[in-house]
Amino acid sequence: MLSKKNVVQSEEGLLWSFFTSVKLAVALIFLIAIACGLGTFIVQDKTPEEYKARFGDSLASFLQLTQFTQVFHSYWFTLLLVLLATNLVCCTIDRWRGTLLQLGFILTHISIILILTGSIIGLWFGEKGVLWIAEGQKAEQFNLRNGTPRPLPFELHLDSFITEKHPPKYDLLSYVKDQHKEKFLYTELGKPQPIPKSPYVVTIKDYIPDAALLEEAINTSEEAKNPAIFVQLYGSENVAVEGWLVAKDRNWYVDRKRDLKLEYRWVESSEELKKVNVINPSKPTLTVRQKEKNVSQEFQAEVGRSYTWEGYNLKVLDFTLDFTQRTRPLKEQQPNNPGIQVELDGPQGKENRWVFANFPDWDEMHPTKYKELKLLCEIPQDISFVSQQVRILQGPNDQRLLAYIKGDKVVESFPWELEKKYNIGDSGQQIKVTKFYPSFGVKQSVVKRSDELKKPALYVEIDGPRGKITDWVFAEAQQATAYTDGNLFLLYKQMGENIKDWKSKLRIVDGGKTVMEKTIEVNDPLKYKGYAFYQASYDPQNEKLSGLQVARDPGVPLVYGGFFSLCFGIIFIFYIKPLLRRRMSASGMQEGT
Amino acid sequence: MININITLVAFVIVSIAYMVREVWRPEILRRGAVAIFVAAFLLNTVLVINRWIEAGHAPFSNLYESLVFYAWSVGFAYLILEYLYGMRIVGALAAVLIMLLLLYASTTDESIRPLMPALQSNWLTIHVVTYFIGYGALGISFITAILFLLSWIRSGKNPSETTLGFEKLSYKIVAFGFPFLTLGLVTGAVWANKAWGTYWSWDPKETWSLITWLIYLGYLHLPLVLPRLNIDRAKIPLIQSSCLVLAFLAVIFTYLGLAYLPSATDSEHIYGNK
Repeated sequence: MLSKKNVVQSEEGLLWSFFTSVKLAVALIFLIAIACGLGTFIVQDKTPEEYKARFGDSLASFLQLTQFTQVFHSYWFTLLLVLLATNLVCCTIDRWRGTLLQLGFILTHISIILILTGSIIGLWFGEKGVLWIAEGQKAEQFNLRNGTPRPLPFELHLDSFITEKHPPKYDLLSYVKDQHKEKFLYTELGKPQPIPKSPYVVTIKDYIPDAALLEEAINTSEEAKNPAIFVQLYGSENVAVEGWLVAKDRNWYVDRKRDLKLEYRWVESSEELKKVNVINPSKPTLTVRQKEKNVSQEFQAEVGRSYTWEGYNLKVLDFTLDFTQRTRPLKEQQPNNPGIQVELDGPQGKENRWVFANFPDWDEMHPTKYKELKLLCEIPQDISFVSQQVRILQGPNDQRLLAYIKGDKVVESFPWELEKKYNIGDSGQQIKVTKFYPSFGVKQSVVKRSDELKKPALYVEIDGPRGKITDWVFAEAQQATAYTDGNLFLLYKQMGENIKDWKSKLRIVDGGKTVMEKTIEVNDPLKYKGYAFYQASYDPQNEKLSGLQVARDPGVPLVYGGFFSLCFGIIFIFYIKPLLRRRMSASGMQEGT
Repeated sequence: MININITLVAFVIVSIAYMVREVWRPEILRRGAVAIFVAAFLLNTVLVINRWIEAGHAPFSNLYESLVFYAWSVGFAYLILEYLYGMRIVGALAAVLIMLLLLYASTTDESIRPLMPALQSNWLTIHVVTYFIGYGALGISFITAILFLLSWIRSGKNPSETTLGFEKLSYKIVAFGFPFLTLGLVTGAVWANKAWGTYWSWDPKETWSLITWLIYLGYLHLPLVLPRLNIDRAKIPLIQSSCLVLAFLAVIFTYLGLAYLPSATDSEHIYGNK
């Protein structure tokens, strides 16, 4: 039975005993731990859209309402901390005896209060943000985390910004496709390295620190399998341009500056050789398709020509090799974006439409009158609007003919010989064929350019189910080197971060005078008037741009005081106090707690 | 040349020696087992120092290095605790734990990588060393907690004096490790403030190290609370040991599991999951 006095007391006493209880403390400790766990299992501080995508509508709105999406800034988490602080204060007062043995207890409990108070001061009176500053520039403000600019009470100058790098280190990475397994291999020469749980063995046979891939033209046979000639074009005395023309591959060269096109053709008979006189230059074509009837027709896209088709009148208005340069003469245009302008006339009146060879869908993305008509154009790759042509022909039984064509007429034609210079009409230019390879091929070889580590390459042997292959693996190659079965790949590349340090030479100008200079680096900030500038990052796109963190946190001394008190208190409790106790009990002293 | 495999084998021998000592109690192993442990621990020490010299920086920068160092820390904590309290069978399980850590390390990528700028600091050494000695001791408290729980199950509701001894030992070990854990947490915050101007940013690693700290803090307060609650007295050591198991699972999660968190992508701390 409770007496009346006891009931009255418990009005205040209940609250006091609630806040001085260790039960509350332990409950709060575990609750805070659980809350922290929630704050990591649920992704924090994202946009409402992201939560909807991740959790669905109803769960997302529940999480946002209960602030589980921003646990560490939530009202209930703050409430837990406030309860903990109150509990700590009450416990400390309640159990205060003032004995030496209690030192640890007092220090640790006060430390938490100090840390919490310090963090609140930092939150209310401090500011934190970022500052991007370019070398040679000055800053008078920075941006808070949410993007709002904040003024600095002084000027911050960045005199120089240096990025120090480690020497590059390259790793050989293997990838087995059907296992989705990557493994780093040793780049040691000669040692066979089996790739675990796979049939492959990789051996590195050679290493070049600075390798280059050389491509060399070779003749593989005397049979005319892939005929090619090496041609030199002379301006006056000197070779102006030279290169290979391969009959069955890239067999033409257009020189807009010299108003000249070179062409090399391999003919199979003497009949064909005579056709040199026939001028059949490649022409652009226009294809029109009626979508509903599913019929289409190809037309010559010659400017000025008109056609009547399926009840429409088509007229080619303009042709350009480069839409943005269409006002210039055709022979000065580069074939960047060729197109044809067509006028369509039909039941709904006239319409002008551009058709682009490289963007066949362009007309469908723009409003048109005649949606049922799809227009396409094709511009031959070797289209040229030069006035002079040199056509070099060659065939079996060593038949050779060189024709000079000007305008649309063959001016002259004669048999040509190797190593002989011929005038190109009266243009003042000359041409010479210096080599003829009946079977043109390209031989690749890897050579060492220097001993410096610049572009390393490894000569690798791969043994697997389809036998041994060897190949060069270049560092930072666009494509991985594959084994014959297309299941094993090797990649030789620079892995991870190779930044050693960033250094920003900062200068503070306050009231027109330089008051402080310091070269900051990561882990070594500059501090002035309560502001601290930390080297945080750099812009990979612009190596002259330094990324700084700016912080002004007046709560830090209190927090650090708390840290110190916490560490010392805990060391006292667990290491010093037991020793003291032992000594005290040895000397027969009584203790209080 | 001392490599990880030799060290691994050494700890296999250590665990066998401890088992033999426990079962047959030959006179030669009474002190001999600890001596073998010390020898194996020295091999592990050489492994850490070699790596330190080879890499040119404190060897805690990737998973391989940190696992080897954690193995060392468990050994270090064990030897201190052995000296202070006499650990008996616990030593065998400590050797097994070290063995597992080294075994795991031997499967990870051991190539040396340059240290990212933020890690090039003396704080790295202080922070990691204090943390790992703490983790080492807590690993051993996990072993004693497991031993308690196992012998509890075996003895039914009437735990023997030895069984209860494990519980008391657990508390003492946590009392030894917790100050290191606190130092690790605090030096981490101080270092973060030096590097980024923020001593706390609720990064998943920070948050989880706080969670583990809170659980051990809660554990240390349990003896003040449990006797006052209306529960069976005999169950108190059971609750405490369970709490320790939970706490060490949180340590393992903090150390190795964070890469699986949805919030892991933004963290500065988490080892790449190669």
